[in-house]
Order: sequence, then C-alpha cells, then structure tokens
Amino acid sequence: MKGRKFLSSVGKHWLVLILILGTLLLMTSCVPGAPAPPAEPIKIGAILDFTGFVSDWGPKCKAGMELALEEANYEVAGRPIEFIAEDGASDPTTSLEKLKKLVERDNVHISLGPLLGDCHLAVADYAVENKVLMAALYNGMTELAPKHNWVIFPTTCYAQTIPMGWYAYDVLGYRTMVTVGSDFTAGWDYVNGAADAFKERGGTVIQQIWTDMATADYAPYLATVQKADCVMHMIAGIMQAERFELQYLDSGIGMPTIHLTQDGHHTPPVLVDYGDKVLGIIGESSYLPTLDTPVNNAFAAAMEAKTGMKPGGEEVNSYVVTKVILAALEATGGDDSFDKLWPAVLAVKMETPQGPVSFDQNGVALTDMYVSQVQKINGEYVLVPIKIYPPVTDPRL
Amino acid sequence: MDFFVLNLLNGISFGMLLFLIASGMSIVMGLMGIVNLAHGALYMVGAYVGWTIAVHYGLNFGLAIFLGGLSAGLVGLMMERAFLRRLYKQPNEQVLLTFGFVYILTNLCIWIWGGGPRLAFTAPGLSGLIQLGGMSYPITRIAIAISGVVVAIVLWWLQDKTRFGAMIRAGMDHKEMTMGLGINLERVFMFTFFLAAFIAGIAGVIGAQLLGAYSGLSIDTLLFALIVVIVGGMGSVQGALLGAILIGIIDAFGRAMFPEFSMFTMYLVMIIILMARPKGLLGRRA
Repeated sequence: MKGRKFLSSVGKHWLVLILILGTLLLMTSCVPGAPAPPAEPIKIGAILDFTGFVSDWGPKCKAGMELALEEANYEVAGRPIEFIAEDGASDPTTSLEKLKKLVERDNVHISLGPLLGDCHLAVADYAVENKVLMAALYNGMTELAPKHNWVIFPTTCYAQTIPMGWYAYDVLGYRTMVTVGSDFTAGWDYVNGAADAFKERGGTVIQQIWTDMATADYAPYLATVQKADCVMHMIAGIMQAERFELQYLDSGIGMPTIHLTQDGHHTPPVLVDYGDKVLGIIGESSYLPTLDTPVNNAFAAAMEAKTGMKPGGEEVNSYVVTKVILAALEATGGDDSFDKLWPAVLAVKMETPQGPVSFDQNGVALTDMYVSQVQKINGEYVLVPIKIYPPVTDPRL
Repeated sequence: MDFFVLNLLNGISFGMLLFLIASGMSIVMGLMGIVNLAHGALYMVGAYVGWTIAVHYGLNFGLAIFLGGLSAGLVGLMMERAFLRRLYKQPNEQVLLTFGFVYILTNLCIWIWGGGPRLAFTAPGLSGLIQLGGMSYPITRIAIAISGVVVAIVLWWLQDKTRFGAMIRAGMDHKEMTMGLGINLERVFMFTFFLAAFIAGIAGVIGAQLLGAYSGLSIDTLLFALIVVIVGGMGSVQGALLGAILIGIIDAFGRAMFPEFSMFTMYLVMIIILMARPKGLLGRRA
C-alpha cells in the first residue's frame, strides 16, 4: 500500500512537471522573434517505371527530376520539398494503385507520371475526382487534355508527329508510305498524327501494320510489307524499337525508313552500340542533346555530371516539367492546392533545354519540334536537328 | 509462294530459338520434376555474358557461346546445390524459390550491366542475306535454326542413347530402385540441372542475335519456355522440338495473316493442345 501511495505521489509530481513544461513550450513558441516552426513540406509524387515494359525510362526520368529539385535546393517559396517516387511497373492497374497510395497515404497533390499512354487513361478519372495535378512526361493522349488537370509535355502524341508527315512529303519527296506501329493507344496516335499530315499534303498511306507490344520476332510482320517510297515506324519501348529496326535492316527490304520518336530510341548510348547501321536515318524528335543553346549546354553538362551519360528525352522532359511545377509553386507562394496551382502552371513561360516553352489553355505544352538525323560528327554518333518546326497544336482539340 | 516460304522459314527459325530456350526447362521439369521458373533468368545471364564477350570485348563468338553457357550453368549449379536439392518433389516451394531467383538474377544483371538494353548483334560471318530461289533471307536466322538442330541432336543422343540418359530416366521412374543399383542419383541430377542451365546460357547467346539482352528477358523467355513445354510435353527432347516448331510456325503465319490477333495465337494453340492432350504432344508418361 505504501509503495502504491509513493508511486501515486511521484506520478502526480511528474504530471505537474509535464504540464508546466508544455505550457512553457507553448508560450515560447508564441513569443515574437522565437524561431518559427518548420514549414510543412510540399510533396511531389512521381509514378515512374523502374520495372516492366519501359523500365529503362524510370531511372532517367528520376534523374531529370532530381536535377531540377537539386537546383532548387529541394525548396520552393520557403517550403521544403519532399519527393516521393513510385514504380508504376508500366502497368495501368499498378499505376492507379500507386497514385491512390500517393494521394491517400502521402497526401500528394502533384503527380509526375505515369509514363505510358494506357496508364494515363487508367488513372485519369481518379486524378480528376481527387483534384490531382498530373503530368504526362513523354507526350500524352489527346483525350487527357479536356480534363484540364494534365500537363502534357512536350505535346500530345498525335501532334508530336505531325511535322514529320509534312516533312516526308514536302522535303523528302515521298508520295507513298507504309506505317508500322505498336498496337496500343499512344502508338496509334503517334503513327496517325504523321500519317494524317502526310495524307493532308497529298501522300498515300498504302498499308498500316499494327504489331503486338511484346513481339519477339518482327519477321512475320516484315514479310507482309508492301512496296512504297518509305516505311514509317513507331515501335514503343526502346528494346522493341531496336529489335524492330535491326530486324528490318537485316531483312533486306531496303526501303528508306522514318523513325518516329527517334530521340526516345536513338539515345546516345544506343547510337554507340548501333555504329554505322543507322547512320543517316531521319526521324522526329522532341529534344536533341546537340541543340547548341546556353540553356541546353548547361543542362546537358549538369546531367552528364550527375549520371555519367548524355541526356535524352526522358531526362530533359522530366527536368523541364519539374521546373515548370516549381515555377508555378513559386507563383502561388507555395500553395500546392489544385485550384491555385493549375492556372499558375498554364501561365508559366520559360526558356528550357528544348527551347522556349509555354502552355495552351488545356495544359498542352507548346514547344519547338524537330526533324532529326543520325550523323557522325568528330567520330561520335549523334542526333542532329535538320529542320525545326514551330509549335504545332493538336487539330483534334 | 514467297509469302508462304518466307513465313515458313521465319516460323522454323523462331521455333528453333524457342526450342533452345525451352529444351533445358523441359528436361528439368520432366525428368527431375523441378519447376524452374528461373530458367528465363539463366537464359538472360547467358545473353548478357555473351554480349559482353562478343560485342564489348570483340572476342570470338564461339567463346562467347561457351562462356555464356558456362556462366548460366554455374549459376544453375549453385541454385541446385544450395537450395533445390532440398526441395525435390515440393513443387510449391520450388516455384516460390525459383521465382525469387528471377528477381535476384534480374537485379544482379541490372547492377552489373545497367538498366539499358544491349542491342541484338550479328556474329561475324553471319551478317547479310542468302539467296534462296528468288528471294533473299538473313543468314543469322538460318544459323539460329541450325544451332537448334545441333542442340536437339545432342540432347536426343544424350537422353536416349547414352548410359547417363538411361540413369536419369531410371531415376525419375523409380528413385529407390535406381539408387539400390548403386547409381549416385544426386550427382546425376546435379549434372542434369547444370546441363539444362548451360543450354539456357548458350541459347541466350545465340538468341541475343535476334532478341538482344535486357533485364525483361527473364520473364519474356520464361513465358515462351512454358508454352513450348506445355505444348510439346515435359521431359521429352522430341516433344520440345515439335512444340517449338509448331508454335513458331503458327505464330509466324498468325502475325503475318491476322496481325490483330497475334497477341494470343500462341496461347490459342496451347489451349487447344491442353484440351486434346493434357500431357502435351509427346509428353513423357509418369
């Protein structure tokens, strides 16, 4: 009994002591001039692909985002930034699960990615319902734009390839074309953007071949290719694209090719492996590491210092979109709520490694567009711009 | 006519690659009763090692095939000695364990070679086209088909015409009786697993001429191997060969004639075979 009384008396003393300390702490924090409590971090989420079909994209995109955040010292408008990257596994269901996790558990209002077109469509409704600002980092489907919560960079899949269709007719002089594309939502838009532009000029698309995304052997498709002035192809996934290209070159078909999304496939390390095989091949690109501008030179040097590799489209797109989000957050004074952030994003205008960037009222970026070619300069295989088109808007919007 | 011949050749050459991928798995599954889901990962190890020898260091392609096979064989040997030998006749545990190895080997490859893909390459002397009648055909694909035929003959001889093959078959039919005859079955199974992994490795190097080397190979090739084993039947070299060629030809004609259905032509064949012959075309009877 004595023991219990003693403990009870000690407990009371502790209670009083804690109350006094708590009150003192509360008072101290209210005193003018006392250090302010640390600001709540702004959480920026990212759904990238570290596994799955485009697993090579994830680390590159992450590196681009990290560079932009490092340049901002992980801080915007006086608030620290917490960056949370998830693996979408190139899978629509997983991407949706990861977005739900980011929103519901991490309380994120901004998601950079997912990366693939079908994943975009899978998460789109949930993102609208929960007022999440989304970013399509390597083009986006036209259907996303009317939702008015997607930053679509560098433009829609369809608009991205329109200049290539014009160039094929106007400059290369092709009149007939066979197209080969990956059979998925974005694949159709990439191919049809250029094909429709080619037809609009007066050209004829005599055959369209759609290939299974996971094709190991393209020879059966190649056996059906009809005679035309050129073969224009867009095969999704760097490994698949390379496999197609090499099997095409080995097949002896011999018709000239046009490579859509060339910058995503003919990346600097891949060009080293290809050697002379793809020398002279023309395609369409949204970014070229060889663009000789002060902004791009600084970016390319910083990226190479960070990763040891020359940057490609994945790094630069992720870098620029993160920069855009940071600029918008700065404009809102660090308010990351969707209603404040969306108009701020649309108002962003900045000089980027890709050239000047602004946005239309749908959140689709307006950037220069490039026709590119593989050339060998000073013993190095590089993609160089051979024609620059001013921003093209998606005619379907 | 050209269309038919071209697709037949495409089907046979791809089918022979499927045989190279699947034959080792078929042997291990049918004769040893081990469900090795890491077979595709062993193929991937071979592909990366082969690429490194043949492309990165520019050494002899034959050496690349041997070292690719040896690397995969040694990894397989380690798996069998350290883990799988404790799990004979425990299929659930085997599935979990070997699938774990898929992740481990894939991540090891990413760690060593990076996440970027390695391009398909052509062995010296095998580039270019060969004239067949009025059409031309890539020499690489013919070389792949010939490699498959050679491996098939060696495996058939080993399995059906040698004392070693007889010991394996006897061991699977009646383990205790075979051991009672003084045969060291543990050693036989160890060598069989090494051989299967070795074949996966050389298949990886030969197949890299068509598929390249990348971290997704472990799963992509596993699917091919499973389909071939199911269609051809487990434990039979002839079954794996027949299943692989059948799948290859049907896939080639399916993609050429009905490209919009190409995603599931292989699976359609598998379903029909499973319904008609649950043991596969030439599956070994228990």
